[in-house]
Amino acid sequence: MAVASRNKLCKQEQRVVEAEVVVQTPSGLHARPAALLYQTVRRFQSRFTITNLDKPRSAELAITPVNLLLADVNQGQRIRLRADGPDEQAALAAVQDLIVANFGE
Amino acid sequence: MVSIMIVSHSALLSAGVQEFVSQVAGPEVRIAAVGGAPDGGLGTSVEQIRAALSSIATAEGVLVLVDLKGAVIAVDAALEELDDLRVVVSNAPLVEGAYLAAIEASVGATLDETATAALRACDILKVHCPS
Repeated sequence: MAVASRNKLCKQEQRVVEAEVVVQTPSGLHARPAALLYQTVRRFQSRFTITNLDKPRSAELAITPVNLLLADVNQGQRIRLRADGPDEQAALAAVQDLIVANFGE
Repeated sequence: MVSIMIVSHSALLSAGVQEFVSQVAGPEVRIAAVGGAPDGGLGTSVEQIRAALSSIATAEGVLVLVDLKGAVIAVDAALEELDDLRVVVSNAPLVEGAYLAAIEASVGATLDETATAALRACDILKVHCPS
């Protein structure tokens, strides 16, 4: 019991931050943008998930190279990003900046 | 950092995959491309594979991506005379596997993690076929 309640407390202390963004790059989130997104995420300790909100029955996926392709995000589609970890605010801001800047394209 | 090696039966094919994945991996990942027989025709060259493997080998290892089975046989032959190299030959499809592996290697992943990332290429559905 004691262990369970302590775990619960830890869980509550870890905040999850999230943001919704529209991907505007012509090729969507494939090839180079997907690579850049993963490389940016991995500069931080926080764990990220992505959900393609404009794809029917889309799941929340941990951000990995293959999952970014499986999320199948095309131009104009809205995604939800969730970050969870010690540097989540900075991490989420960096990823949002990258997407809003169209990955430098 | 893990290095990536492309081995195919055509020099142009290997060079094309190398061009593609080096643009997503960035400058830090070493990527070698070997293809074609010694006479310039279709095939593989054990000598060229051996030289390329030696040139890009790192302590973290090398992940090899191939086009067809013949390339695996050539890589195995090349490895017979190379000691102390950490090399994994991937069953992943060449282009998608090299792409995923290069991204994973670029963030400092281990050889195991890079090999696992490459194999996930088998899960990619590019065209939704009518059943």
